[in-house]
Amino acid sequence: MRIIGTARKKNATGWYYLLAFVILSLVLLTCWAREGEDGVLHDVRSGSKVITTPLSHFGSILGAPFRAVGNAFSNMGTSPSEIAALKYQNDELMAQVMQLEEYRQEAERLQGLLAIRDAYNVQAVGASVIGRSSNSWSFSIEINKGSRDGIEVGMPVMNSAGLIGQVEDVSYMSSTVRLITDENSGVAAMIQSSRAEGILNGSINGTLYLNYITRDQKVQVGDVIITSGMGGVYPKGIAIGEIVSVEGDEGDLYYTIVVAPLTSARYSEEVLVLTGDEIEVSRIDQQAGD
Amino acid sequence: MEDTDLRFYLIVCVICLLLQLMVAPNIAINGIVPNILFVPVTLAGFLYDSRWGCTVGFIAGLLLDLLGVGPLGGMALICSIMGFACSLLPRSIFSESWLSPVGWFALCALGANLVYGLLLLIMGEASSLGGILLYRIIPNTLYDSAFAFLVYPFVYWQLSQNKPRIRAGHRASRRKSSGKKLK
Repeated sequence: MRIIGTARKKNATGWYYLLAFVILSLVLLTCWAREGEDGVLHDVRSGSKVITTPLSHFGSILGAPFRAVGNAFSNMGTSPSEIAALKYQNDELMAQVMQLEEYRQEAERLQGLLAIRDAYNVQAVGASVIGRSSNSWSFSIEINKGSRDGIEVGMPVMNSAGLIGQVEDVSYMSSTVRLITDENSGVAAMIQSSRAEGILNGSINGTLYLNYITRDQKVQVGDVIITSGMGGVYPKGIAIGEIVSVEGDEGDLYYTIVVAPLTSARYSEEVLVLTGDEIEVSRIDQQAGD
Repeated sequence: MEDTDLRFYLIVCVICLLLQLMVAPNIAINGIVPNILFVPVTLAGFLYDSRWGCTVGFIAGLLLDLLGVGPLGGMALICSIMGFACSLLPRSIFSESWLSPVGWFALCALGANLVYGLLLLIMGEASSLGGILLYRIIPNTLYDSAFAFLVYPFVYWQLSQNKPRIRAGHRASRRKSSGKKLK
């Protein structure tokens, strides 16, 4: 009887524990939803990155072979024609890889970033990618530059091919970049040839959609998508991707446009964070507009 | 609680934490990252009582929240409930084979991912239930379960190694308690 009594008591205490943790979690959720970007809980998350980032970076170095396996699994759904084209491309790339040394590749990538910075005439900070998204619910990367390097939340991030995302969270030594393929990402974009403006949104499966392009606009597969500069977040004219499919029925108001990014942002190694302030960004918009 | 078991369990916790921080982001398949921390949460429920299940669940969930970019407290809430739910299962779950705990783990992972997906949907962080079900919840559950397939046989083997000692320990404690009653 005494043993049964103790078990019951323990079970009851378990319920109290559960209740306490549920209440605590709900309080955290509510505070998180109500507070702004500068709130205490956001700061706690940024602070925790100081501890987790070095481990994540170390894992990123060690995990390169695992990543290759992951990529192989990701590509299992590719069609035979795509595989043939990719094999041909791969052969070409293999020949290049044999000729080039690792430091030369890195130098090329950095040169690309510098060229981009010069081309857009923006202030930028170069950064290395030190980690990938640690959960399945977002497309993001970690970079090795933080508030001590002048990085702030909302700054656009590019690689040598074009725009890849926006700074989501900043800690002292590192930052989290939400990629444009993330479901909660939105970029003011336009079709380069027709100048039709819309919003480029990511999705749950990482596909990019260009929304709000009305059916009276000229849209073709292969058209290049660039930032429109509307809203002042992203400078005008940064390349984002190419249209790969355009669909729209008679009664539809807008096209359904799928865009392929110019590069797989998730596998970028070096990136540029555009640190220019709002005034400079609007000046660039004006220049690009002229 | 047996000391050897607790030591072994804490080692599993540390290994899972390091794997979650260092390995999980690098073995993502099409953006799906395994929730390796689900393993210590379910184990706490399976092996110990509900207080352990809740506490480990809350801590692990909070860590997962801090690592991600989603709402803070969401995973903590779900993992607390998951740890508690696992503790309601009979203690003999590991006595037969490792397949039964893996089955329960898969069910718990499905529940946790489903509830988290719904939470994101309610909070406006996700747009469609079909999308998250197809591209996140199901693949993530399968990936989490694949990890449990790797870890649970090892846990089962380790626990079965300790079994004779645990039985002996129980017998000794029973003799002690009965002796006390006689006094």
